[in-house]
Amino acid sequence: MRQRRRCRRERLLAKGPLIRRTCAAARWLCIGLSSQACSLVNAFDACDEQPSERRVNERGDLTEFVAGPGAAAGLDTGRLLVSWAAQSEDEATSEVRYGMYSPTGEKVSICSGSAVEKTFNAEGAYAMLPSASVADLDHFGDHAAAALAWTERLTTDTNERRSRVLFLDAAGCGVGSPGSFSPFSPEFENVGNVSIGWSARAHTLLAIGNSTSHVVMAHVTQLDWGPTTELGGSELVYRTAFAIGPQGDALVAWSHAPSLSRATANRVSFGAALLDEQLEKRKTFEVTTPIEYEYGSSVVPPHVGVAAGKDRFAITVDGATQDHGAPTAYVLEVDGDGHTLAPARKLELGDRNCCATPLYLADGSLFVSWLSAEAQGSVGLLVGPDGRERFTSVGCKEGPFVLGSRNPDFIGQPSPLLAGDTLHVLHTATTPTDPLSTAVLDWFMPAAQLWPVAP
Amino acid sequence: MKTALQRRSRLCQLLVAVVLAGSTFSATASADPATEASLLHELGAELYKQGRYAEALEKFIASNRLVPNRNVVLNIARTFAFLERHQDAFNWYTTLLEMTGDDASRISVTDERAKLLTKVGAVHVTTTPSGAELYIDRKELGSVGKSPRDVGVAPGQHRIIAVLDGCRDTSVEVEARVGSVTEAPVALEQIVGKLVVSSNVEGARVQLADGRVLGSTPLETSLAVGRYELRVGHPGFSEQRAWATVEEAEPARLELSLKHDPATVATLSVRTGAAHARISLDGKLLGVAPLLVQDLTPGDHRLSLSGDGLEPWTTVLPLEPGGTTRVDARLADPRAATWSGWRWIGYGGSAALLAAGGIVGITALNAKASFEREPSTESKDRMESRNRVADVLFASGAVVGIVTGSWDFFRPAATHSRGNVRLDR
Repeated sequence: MRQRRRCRRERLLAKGPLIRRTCAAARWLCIGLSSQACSLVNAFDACDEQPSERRVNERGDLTEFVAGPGAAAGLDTGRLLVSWAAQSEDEATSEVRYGMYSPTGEKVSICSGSAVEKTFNAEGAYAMLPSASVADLDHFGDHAAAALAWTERLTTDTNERRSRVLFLDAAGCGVGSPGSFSPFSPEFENVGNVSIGWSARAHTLLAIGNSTSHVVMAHVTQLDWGPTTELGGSELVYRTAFAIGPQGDALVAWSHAPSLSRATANRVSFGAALLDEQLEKRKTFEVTTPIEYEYGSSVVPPHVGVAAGKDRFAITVDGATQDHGAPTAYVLEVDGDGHTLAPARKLELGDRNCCATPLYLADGSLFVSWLSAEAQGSVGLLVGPDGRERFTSVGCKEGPFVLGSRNPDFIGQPSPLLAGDTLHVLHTATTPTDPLSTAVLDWFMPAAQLWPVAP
Repeated sequence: MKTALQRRSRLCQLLVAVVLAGSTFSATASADPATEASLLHELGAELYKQGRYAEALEKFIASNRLVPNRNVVLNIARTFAFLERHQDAFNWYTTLLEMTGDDASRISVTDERAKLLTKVGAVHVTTTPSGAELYIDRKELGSVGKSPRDVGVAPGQHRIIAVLDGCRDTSVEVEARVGSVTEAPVALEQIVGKLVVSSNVEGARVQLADGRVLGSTPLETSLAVGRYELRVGHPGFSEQRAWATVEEAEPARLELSLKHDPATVATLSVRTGAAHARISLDGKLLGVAPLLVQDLTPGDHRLSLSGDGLEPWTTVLPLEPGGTTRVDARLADPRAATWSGWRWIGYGGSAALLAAGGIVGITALNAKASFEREPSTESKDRMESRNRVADVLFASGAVVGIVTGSWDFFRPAATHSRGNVRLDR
């Protein structure tokens, strides 16, 4: 899968005389061909590690796209569970679907059937905003190894919604009837957005959702949801996102309409809540961003993303007023008490950037992916623990780099994931292999090779 | 009285002879010795007229010493006789007799000498071989002539000494009596030495200049001591002449190298631009250049020229009898091209570029290690720029080396050895 260029001398030399001779022959061949990929003296190629990309959705009958953070989850079996949304062009139809990859990269037949992807909302329902998570729960003899969450409109002519969760076993078969789990209490039934995450420490599947004015959470330990807890609220809550850290604590962030009462000066702020290891609300606070806000103007619903590191959390936000139209995206880091560690970093590649999602890698570096109008699709950025932008083998320089196929329609929100040692970024792009061109793509590479530091 | 008259008569006869002799001298007085001899003779005659016989005799002898003359000898003999030195007069008449050719004169001289024999003793000395210088009693007294000769001596015991080159001095004792001629044969013992002659051609004939054949080489023979001119010859070879001095003490050795007759052999002349180039003909080393060989067998021969560090040159030569084949060759020195300036520049530049490429490559490796420790655009650019420089240097060095090597390998033929052959008949 990895596409290595030839003449990687330092690697080949370690493999024995035969390969050494082969490399020597290849080197002379390269000399003869004057190939730019080869060197006469030292076979250097700092950026020879190239990522791979594959189309996730199989059918391609609708416009498939990655709806937001948590689109995929790496299961304990080594499989990769991917969820995405599929809508008709007139948006009259909307489904949520999922598929699975084996540890070796092949698509897995869902539930021992022949299909490699499956729609998991109830037939005819208008479903959207899917997300996936690992789970480890038992229910009447069935074992749930994963969970999928999504939102459905109650009726086609209203905007009332409800959130749904589907538990899956290791083969991808549904545990219980589809749509039989609704994580929140009835008084919070009209939840427009839900995201889920597994806390191994609390052995709990955490669900965070928001209605138009409330942010709530619920969690389940035996496929039976517990009480709903309100984390915060606002006049208008747009999106929620959360991440559980390795210590079991979690940060929940949500975007909401600007309010003079909360914003500092004319800056857009976001709400946030810290949960302890038992996923109990510990603290709520407001995160002020550098995004300018003009009072009275309407606001494009901003995206939000959260990542958890060893001792910190990262929050990505974006926002723009309709009057100006050019969204700007930022990432900022807070410590375990919610204190901002450094000024927010502007995610900038051209003048229109949005839909960012953060992810902490194993070495503590922060990876952020987002959409850039300038780049016509997904881009990435790697930031070291010291706060400096890192050199990447993909961009072959510091700063943002183009990430896979292009997405000129600016659809969806990239969703990064660390599964094992592999960095995946599920994102939306146009590809000639999809019947309707827009598809869900999995861009992936060994995470250690993104930052090509010697071991 | 009678004696006085006889003396006057004889004096008159002598004067006549003196006058006659004087007229003869005047006619021949053309060269300085002759003039001096003539003058001395005239002075002797004048002194004789004045009765100063001893002084006159001195002038006559001096004149004869300068230019031997029969008349002068006659005057000497008669003056000695007048002075009654009969022994000397007898010997001078003997000398005169040797100088006299016609029979009439010889009879007259013989008569005069016979008259003297009544007053002196005589010894007829013969030697074997003849020609020996003869001395009476002591060599210090001077030679009395060469054998065979009649020598007048005082009556009594005398010792005859014969001396001849190549022979040991030999003396005999004789008893001389007045009025008789005592025979004194002397056998001379020759002194011999050894002559050894060798030549490059066996069987060459060795002969003396007088034609006497001594034998053929290798030759060892005995010869009377002396200096000989030898002639050594062999069919097909030029006769060679040499001198040899045969001595009693040490053998005289001659080593002769006979040359082929130029009319039957060929001559080869070789010149090369390089000194000491080795010259081989049909694989056999002839010598080093420049070389002239004059006794080669006619026909076609393979000539090879070679020299240390020089490109050899080979050709087939025609050699004709009596002709001279001249070869003027130029042996190329590949090192001249090797160490010419462009090669220094080429190989040296190539080596320098390769070395510089290697050094910069090492610094690139260090930059690579730095990049791998802390990847960054700066460290990557540093690594790549150094590597690029190393590549450029290395590639340039390789190209320069290859071009130089190719030029060196395929260099123009003008640098090869060449030669010109000319046959002079």
